Amino acid sequence: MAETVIKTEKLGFSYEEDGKKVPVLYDIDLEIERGSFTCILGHNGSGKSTLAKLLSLVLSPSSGKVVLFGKNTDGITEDEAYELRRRVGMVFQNPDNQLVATVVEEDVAFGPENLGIEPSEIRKRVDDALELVGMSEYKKHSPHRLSGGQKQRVAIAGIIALDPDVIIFDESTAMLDPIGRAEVMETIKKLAARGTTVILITHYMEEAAEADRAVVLDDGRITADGKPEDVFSMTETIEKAGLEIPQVTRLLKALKSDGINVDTRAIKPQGAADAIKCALGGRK
Amino acid sequence: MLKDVTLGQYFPGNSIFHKTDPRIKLLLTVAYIVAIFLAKSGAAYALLLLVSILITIMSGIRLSVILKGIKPLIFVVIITAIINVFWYSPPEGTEPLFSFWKINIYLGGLLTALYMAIRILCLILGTGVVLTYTTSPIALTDAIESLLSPLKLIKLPVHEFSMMMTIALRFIPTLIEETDKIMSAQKARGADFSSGGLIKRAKALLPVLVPLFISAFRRADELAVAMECRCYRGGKGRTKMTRRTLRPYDFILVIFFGAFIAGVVLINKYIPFYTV
Repeated sequence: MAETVIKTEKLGFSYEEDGKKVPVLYDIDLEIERGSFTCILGHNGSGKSTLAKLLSLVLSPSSGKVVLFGKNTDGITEDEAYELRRRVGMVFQNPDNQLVATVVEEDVAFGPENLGIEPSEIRKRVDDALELVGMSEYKKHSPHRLSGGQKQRVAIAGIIALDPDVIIFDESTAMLDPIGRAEVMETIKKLAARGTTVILITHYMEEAAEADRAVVLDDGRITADGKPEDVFSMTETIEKAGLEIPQVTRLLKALKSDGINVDTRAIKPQGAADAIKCALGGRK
Repeated sequence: MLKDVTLGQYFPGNSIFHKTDPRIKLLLTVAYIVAIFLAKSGAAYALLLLVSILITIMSGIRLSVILKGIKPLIFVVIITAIINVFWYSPPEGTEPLFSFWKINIYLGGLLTALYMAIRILCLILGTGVVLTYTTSPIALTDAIESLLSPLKLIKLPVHEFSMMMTIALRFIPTLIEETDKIMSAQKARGADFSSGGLIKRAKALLPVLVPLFISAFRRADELAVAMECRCYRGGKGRTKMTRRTLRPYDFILVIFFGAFIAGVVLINKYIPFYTV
């Protein structure tokens, strides 16, 4: 059993509006293991972004607690929070609003510069991070001339350069065109394969299919948690959470209801193809 | 249309000025301005003009770009020169060069006008062209931060100031793009930005400014959170990826500009012809 890097206990959050308390999250119990690739699914307003902000210490909980790397974050000092923030990196939705410098490599260097690392070490980290996201050839470019997907990859490089244990992607693909989304997903998968703990927050089911684990958030509560193929087959829960069941799953379910005995748990096209082949195997 | 804004323009290149440490460049610019105001004799002004043209050529910026930069200011130069011709009050008993009606034109007046024109031209070439065209805005900001850093001792927020400049420079193109988008959106709904008087046009801009401001505040908010997540907590304990070190050509330039100032002073003293 791998080490638990993030743990929440009865985590709740509410914000105040016109003097009234508006609850967003209720009693969230979640454990994230080192090296895992978890996807948190939910529709707009389900509280998924709030959860991300609580995990990266941008917000502090109204009730319950967040335990990062075995350390309760309730009442920690500014310096401890600073170190934990470095270890839990966060990539946001709008790539434009995360980049601070007018040159790509200067931007990636921003994080390590804040840590007060030696210049030669910063140089190395920046080059490695840009290499990893495949943006090395653009290092002297100005960010505003890049495409959305490229900007987002630069933003990811900026987080990688901080050498975090966990990276949270808060709907980082939501504002991108299909090509940009594919580029960013490729990068995220690469990071997960490299052993970084990844938490991907999204409402795209195709993206969730890439993860090891899917957690469904519906109006501030976890309503499903498990392997993506198991979670996707919980049709009612998914639909109630305002999410769309992937086409692959719908196709398999339609086949099944038409009387073909097919395994409906596949979530990627290749898996579906195999399941259908298997079901029709006898006939050919 | 807003894409034509040339604020913070920088032309990448490989000249000696592109390679010089921006801090040295800033200091030399100050020295250069001092030299311009020290010049008194005709020969000194000739030297000024010569050096200005020389450094402009050395900067390797294309002539068409330079002319485009100077063009809007030519008018100012001419007006200043003309005013100076008539403004000149000669010492007692000077014979006018020629006079018509009640106006006397003196040699001194013409010289003052010429010198003033040379002065302004040199200022534009030295600071406007050579400094800003060869220095990237970020290098300039870094240089300002570095040169002003002694002021941290008296608790001036030098780092914060330079961070603000950097972010402003980063967001100028983003906000220009956004303004264009909002203007197109408003045009699509029938807004008219190009007809009517000044007041009507200014009023028409209001539906552009309001969304622009709201979006700018939202951006600022998100950026602040993102910066915090990237461990930003002010200038304390921060390092820089590129540590600038002085190189031989920095010293060569310093010597060159030192000689330039000395030259202006010496010429003023020993070749004092046509001094005004």
